[in-house]
Amino acid sequence: MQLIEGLKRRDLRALAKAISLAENDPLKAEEVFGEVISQPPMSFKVGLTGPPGSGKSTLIRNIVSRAVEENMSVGVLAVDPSSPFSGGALLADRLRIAIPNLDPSKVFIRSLSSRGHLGGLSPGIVASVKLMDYYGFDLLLLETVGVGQAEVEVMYLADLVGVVLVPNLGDDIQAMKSGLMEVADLFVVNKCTLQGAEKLRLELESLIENSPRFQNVLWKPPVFSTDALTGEGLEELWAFIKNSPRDENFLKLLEKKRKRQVHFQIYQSLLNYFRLKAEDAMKLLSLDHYSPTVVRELIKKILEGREEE
Amino acid sequence: MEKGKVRILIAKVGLDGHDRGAKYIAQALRDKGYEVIYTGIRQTPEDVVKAAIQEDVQFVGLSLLSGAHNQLFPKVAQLLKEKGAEDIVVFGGGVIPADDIPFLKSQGIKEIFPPGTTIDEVVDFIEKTLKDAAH
Repeated sequence: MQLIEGLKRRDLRALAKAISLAENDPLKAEEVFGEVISQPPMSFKVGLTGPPGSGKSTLIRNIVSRAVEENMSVGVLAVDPSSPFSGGALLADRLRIAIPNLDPSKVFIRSLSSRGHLGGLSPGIVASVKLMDYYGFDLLLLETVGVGQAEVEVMYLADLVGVVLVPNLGDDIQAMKSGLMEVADLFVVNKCTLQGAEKLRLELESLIENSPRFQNVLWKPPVFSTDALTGEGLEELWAFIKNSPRDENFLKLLEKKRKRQVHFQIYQSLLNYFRLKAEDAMKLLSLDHYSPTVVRELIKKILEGREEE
Repeated sequence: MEKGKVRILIAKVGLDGHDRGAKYIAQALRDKGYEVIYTGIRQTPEDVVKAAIQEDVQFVGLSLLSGAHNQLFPKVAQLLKEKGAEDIVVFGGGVIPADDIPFLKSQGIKEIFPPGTTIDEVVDFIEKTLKDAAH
């Protein structure tokens, strides 16, 4: 197919169109790009996640500019939420990430809508990451939607996960809770000049020092204090990110992560398949009220639909 | 144009910080179910075209209130053509005198929406353009 040829020629428009196919029809994309997306992962993938407005995009802009200074090529996938009412989206991460006059073959930024998906990413994200990987960037950055406590899917796609926090979101008990706080390979306390930032940093350090989860582990997440607007602390953060792929412990961790990644990717494909089936089935019945019978009938329809294929 | 979500880039070109109109239309199009990528202010035509291609949009909407539309709008259309992306439809809005509209259209700007345009007029234009392209 034309798009695959384009990808092989490293045509940027082909990459952009391939990602659109992955977004619009993840199952079709897996068929079309089977050869491409079965390749082993190539680029080093860093995911940034955290609450809305914590500064993820601005941090990414800083990372992109430092990577480009060191002659690296960078791909960015940035997800913003879709509307539960219209299905539309206002994608504005690019506004903060894009740096004027950069060579487009060095920096490729793509904004994605979550399209109703709740894990912090989007239904087409697995194929999109694989396509970017195949195209080949030295560094691949993933930005999730602004998340709360439970959206942790980025851990299944990124090699290194940074959880970006800002002061005054809660006390040390909040930090002990399951979910987001557990998936960090590094923490960033952004907006570090605000009151409460030092307290947050100390709480995180104490959590990592004292929590049973971090005893006898390969990897203890470091805590970085940054101010993405002025660039404070960015030098240290970038140096750490850049050097992680050469860290012996990190490589051991990565080996485990890559297995989890494959698991997730297969699971995600299955979910995409059944999600589409469920959406089709919803069109078949008149749904005036909820009852277990209605649900059973729909499941029957879905299974019958499968046999027709 | 292929099936799937319609993606629209809303961009402000040139040295013009008046972004209220661009932000309004970006949100209104979102509410109509489109995926809108908003670039923010002070974009060069080169950056707009780069974004349009990377984001794989079907439309680029340019907003300008500074008076430089006769230079900057055609430049975007021309650069898209140079990149082989002339299938991306460019439209514009802002304070644009009626006398300038024929020239802008001759330069590849498909439609101009002056002050007072309703959001439904923009949606009608988008839907009609998509329908025409499908035939």
